[in-house]
Amino acid sequence: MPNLLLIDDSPTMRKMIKLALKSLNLTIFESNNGIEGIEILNNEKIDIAMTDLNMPEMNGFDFLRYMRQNENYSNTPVIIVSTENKLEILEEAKKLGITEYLKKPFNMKELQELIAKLLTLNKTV
Amino acid sequence: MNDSIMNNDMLQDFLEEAKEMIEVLNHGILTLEQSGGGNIDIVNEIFRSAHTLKGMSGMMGFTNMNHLTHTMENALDKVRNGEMILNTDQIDVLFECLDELNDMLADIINESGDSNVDTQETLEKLKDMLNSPKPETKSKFETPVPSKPKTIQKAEFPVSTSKEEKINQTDAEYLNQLMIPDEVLNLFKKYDVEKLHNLILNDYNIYYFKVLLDKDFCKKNISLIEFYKKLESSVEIILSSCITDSIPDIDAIDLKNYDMQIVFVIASKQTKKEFFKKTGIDSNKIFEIFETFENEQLQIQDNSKDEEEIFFELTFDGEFITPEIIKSFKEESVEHIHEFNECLLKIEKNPDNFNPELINAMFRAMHTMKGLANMFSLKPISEFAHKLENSIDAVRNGKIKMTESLVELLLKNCDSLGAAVQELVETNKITKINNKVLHELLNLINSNEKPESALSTEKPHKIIKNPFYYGFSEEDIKKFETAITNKNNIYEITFFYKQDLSENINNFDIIKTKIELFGEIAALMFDIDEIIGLDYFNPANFDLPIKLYYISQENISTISMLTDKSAENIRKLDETDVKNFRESYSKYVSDKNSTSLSSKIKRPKPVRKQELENHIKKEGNKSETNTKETTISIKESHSKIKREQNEELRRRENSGEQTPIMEQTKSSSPEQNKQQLNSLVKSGVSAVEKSNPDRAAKRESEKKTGINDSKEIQTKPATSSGLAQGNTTVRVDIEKLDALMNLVGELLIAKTQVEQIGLNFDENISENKSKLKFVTEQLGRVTNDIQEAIMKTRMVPIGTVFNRFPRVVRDIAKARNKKVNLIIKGEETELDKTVIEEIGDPMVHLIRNALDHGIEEPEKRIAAGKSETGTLTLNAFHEGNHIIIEIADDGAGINPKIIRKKSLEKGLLTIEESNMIPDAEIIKFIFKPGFSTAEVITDISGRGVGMDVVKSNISKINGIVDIQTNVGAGTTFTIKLPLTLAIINSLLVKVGEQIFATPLAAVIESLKIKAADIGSIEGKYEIIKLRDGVIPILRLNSQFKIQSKENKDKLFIVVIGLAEEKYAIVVDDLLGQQEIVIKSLNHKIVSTPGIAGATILGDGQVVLILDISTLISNAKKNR
Repeated sequence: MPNLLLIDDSPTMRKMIKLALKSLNLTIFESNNGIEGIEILNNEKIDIAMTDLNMPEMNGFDFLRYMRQNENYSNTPVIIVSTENKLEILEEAKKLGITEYLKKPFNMKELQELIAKLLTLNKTV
Repeated sequence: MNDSIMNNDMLQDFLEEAKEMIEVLNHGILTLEQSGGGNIDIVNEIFRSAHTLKGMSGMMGFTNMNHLTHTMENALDKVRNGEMILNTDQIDVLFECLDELNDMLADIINESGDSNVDTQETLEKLKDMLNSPKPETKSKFETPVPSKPKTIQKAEFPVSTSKEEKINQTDAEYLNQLMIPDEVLNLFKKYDVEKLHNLILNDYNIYYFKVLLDKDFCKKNISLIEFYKKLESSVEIILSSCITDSIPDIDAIDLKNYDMQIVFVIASKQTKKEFFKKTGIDSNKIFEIFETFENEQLQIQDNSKDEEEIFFELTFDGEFITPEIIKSFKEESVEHIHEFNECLLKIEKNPDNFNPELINAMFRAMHTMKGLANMFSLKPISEFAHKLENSIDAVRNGKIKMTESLVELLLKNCDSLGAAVQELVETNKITKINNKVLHELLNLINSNEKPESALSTEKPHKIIKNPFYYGFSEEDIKKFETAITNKNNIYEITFFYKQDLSENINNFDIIKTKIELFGEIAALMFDIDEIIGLDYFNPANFDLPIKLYYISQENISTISMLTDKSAENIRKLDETDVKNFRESYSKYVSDKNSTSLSSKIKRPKPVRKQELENHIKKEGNKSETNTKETTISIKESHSKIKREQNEELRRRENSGEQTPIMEQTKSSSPEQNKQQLNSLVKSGVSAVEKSNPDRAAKRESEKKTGINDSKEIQTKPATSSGLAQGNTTVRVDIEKLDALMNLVGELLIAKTQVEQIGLNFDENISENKSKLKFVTEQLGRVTNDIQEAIMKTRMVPIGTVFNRFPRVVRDIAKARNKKVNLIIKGEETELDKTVIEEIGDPMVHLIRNALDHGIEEPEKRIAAGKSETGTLTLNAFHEGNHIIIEIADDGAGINPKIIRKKSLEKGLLTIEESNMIPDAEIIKFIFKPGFSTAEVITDISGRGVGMDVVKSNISKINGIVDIQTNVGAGTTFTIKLPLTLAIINSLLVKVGEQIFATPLAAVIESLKIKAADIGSIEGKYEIIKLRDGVIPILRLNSQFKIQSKENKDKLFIVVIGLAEEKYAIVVDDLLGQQEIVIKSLNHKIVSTPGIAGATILGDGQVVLILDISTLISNAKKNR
């Protein structure tokens, strides 16, 4: 079972995402912020990560930065899920090497398909 | 308004507010009289109050009151404008009006309908007043009173005859009067301004709104063109354009996630609702709609605009939105709002030097809230949160300083949002959200950003293209004309490119190559841009209509085949079409020439068409198909539209300089975003504020008089009482669950042990017996632990309740001009969730009482030798199976003498009784229903809620209230509550053969007495003297008609207390304490008064649980 790391400070959001991804048969590790996310990164083997941007303690960017510096995770697909739609934020995320950018609100079907696609892609690589 | 709509809540709100207004009026007119009618502030204030009353009564359908207040308002307006100075007689007339208003209110309270008070005479007097000679003949139209901008503008607006003229300074000022954001204002040109002006003169309402073009919009098959046509048929469109700064770089990672906003400025005589209905526009899709100018005669009809009637419901979609997720959403929303509130309060304490992390936390709270609400399609909430987020962002970026007034406004807005969320929590839907204070907030932020807005007026005004210009070039039109003369067919083939242009581009190329074999593609263009007057578009987000103009000799069915039927529409063009093209082109050329001066000034905008072109090129290269034509045709078409820009671009492109263009785009983006932020913040400032100065002023007055504060306090408890049903989930710390899991493990071990003993019990009886004893002990321990652990999961720290209070205390203290320091202790103390839910309201009452009547005004405190600032302490701690909550103030205390006197006056007790009752007991009379605390303890005319409410609420959860008071030193209320309601500790008592369980929480003490100890008052009521108190006797045997075998020498009484009352229950025997689990009974038994439920004892015997509160109330009735 692939492992997905889900970072979002909103439990409701996490619940919704978890529900949406139920059918994909993933092991989902949840965390409230980047710091917890890093802990999970270090303890588990994560195949795909989803993170919010605006969070307490450690935001999505810092998490992403850490993740990309870690050689185990330099190519792991990362999806940013955020309400931000500012261009410079998007560009920064792009620079840091994100795979996809989902703007909230997003369609759950869309998310399902996206994750499924990324996981198969990753497998073939 | 009919009765079905006008519900009781609304009426209550109205009455309360009306009373406040009348008070303000009363006070204002009095001051006017004293000051000789000169003070303009006071005149303004009473004018506003009259105006508000007018509006409210009109809304509620009280025509009589509406009429009277309207006439009053007219009179006061004259005073305000300096056309009239009030003399004593006229002031008397105003007072008469007030008296009548009061009578009307009383009528409304009694009959809940329109009042029949005869106002004829007063109205006549008022009208006389209005017609009285003016001191000076000053006309409104000549007097530039700043608060009446529209009238002046109507008269002064210079009418220009030249349509092409660039908008000048006067026009810009005129436009600034309308609440249209700068970004839109910049789109206006002279012609538009004149049109707008004429429409306003002809009594049109002006609306400005944004439409969000997104995927859904297109999926519903609403084409933008149709939308525009529909709109055009029902309203006057003054301006339509795309707001460009929200469109991302075309190269951004995921195009699909961007939405485009199109803004319309329209004029219509319809109200907003009619307008929606007529155009059939889904109001959800309308991003924002603002009245920017409203004609006066229509004002009354649409008074509801501050509280917009909206209807959004949380629904389960069965797949992704489950009841569980909705619950979690609700809980989380409440938390975010709380967090926001909390941070604000912390900032308020130290506005000059607060922790910046607080701002971040607030920003995050609103940000998350916005995102969440969006996921649930709760537009009003997400919009509101978004605006608050922007406001906080403005603080974060240093655009505006955190001032007291800003905190105040933010708090109020947080309340509005809280109220909406509360409604959502309780009813699953939102019907209204109070935008009133939001406008004020946005105004404040707007005004603080003045320097920037001043700059923006100097910005060059953008020229809007003629919406009916098709965008053809001279050559194109020539081609068409030749085709017509050569009798060739001209087709307009429309393709809709769905969402993702890059996926479709190959397909399009194939078709294009095919049809080129049979004819010539004369032109290709992006339709929207021409028809709606959009400047830029985002091809990814909606169906992008591309139109091919195709000249061929083939007939229409062949063309249809050639396009693989993928064309949306194929239309054959005839001579007239070509003529139209020609005409519009000539018009465009002349338009362009006349405006070329202003267009020289470069706008800070990226050139989207160019990018799109590049994009298509790139895509084309990837797929290695021939896209040359596409590129060229696009280039051709758009070069004609933006010649000036394009010339430069082409030059760069020709010299291979593509990058500079992209860089230009990027470098301009921060600026764009800044603009976007500004415009968002600004655009929120509703038209209401400016177009209706009175309303804005009324808010101001509310702020001054603190009416809003007090109203909030009044309504808060009412809303939170619904919480008990709404919030049925508990968030459990994972540690607690882990502990529980461990215990269950131990339970399983114990179970296997018992099983093993059972297997070969007969073989070694003595050994097994001791084993069994050991296992039983273990089982007992484990079950106890499990019980405790489960109880812990139901436990919530009382901090969740306490945290509400700093705000309450602050508001009341402010309203009462008192200085209070709130100390909160023991907020981590946990108690059962159900208890938590019930305890909030009574605590609010007690705190309000403490502040209202307990803590004195600073002067009085100083006079009494105390510190200026009073202290209110909230403390919670455990005591055995109870939790104690103390609410202590260091105020004046309660004087028992006054209570005694008032109780006698009110007939709550006789003189004999009064003599028997000691001081400590008499104080408890404040809990009696008919006892108004406000009248007795202080002179503050109060909204003091009866303490009986406090008592009954606490009784409901088996709690006890106690008071200790020292005159001059303060009062402490002690609330004693059971930890949980599901498992209770009880005292088992026996009456006859029947065993009853008495909740131990209610038991104060038990005593062994003799029958002779029981005395009586007036030979009727049995009492027992206990120490220095007298306690009435309650006999269970008579209550439940049981034969008791009374032993005259050995009786027991159990003293039970509920709230402040004590009774002694006479029982035959005490059996001891036991923890019992409450089981509910069926309705027949439960309807027996005095029985709360049942429980099963260890031996299987069923025991009834006494319901202390009904027992006591029954006993009271019998007395």
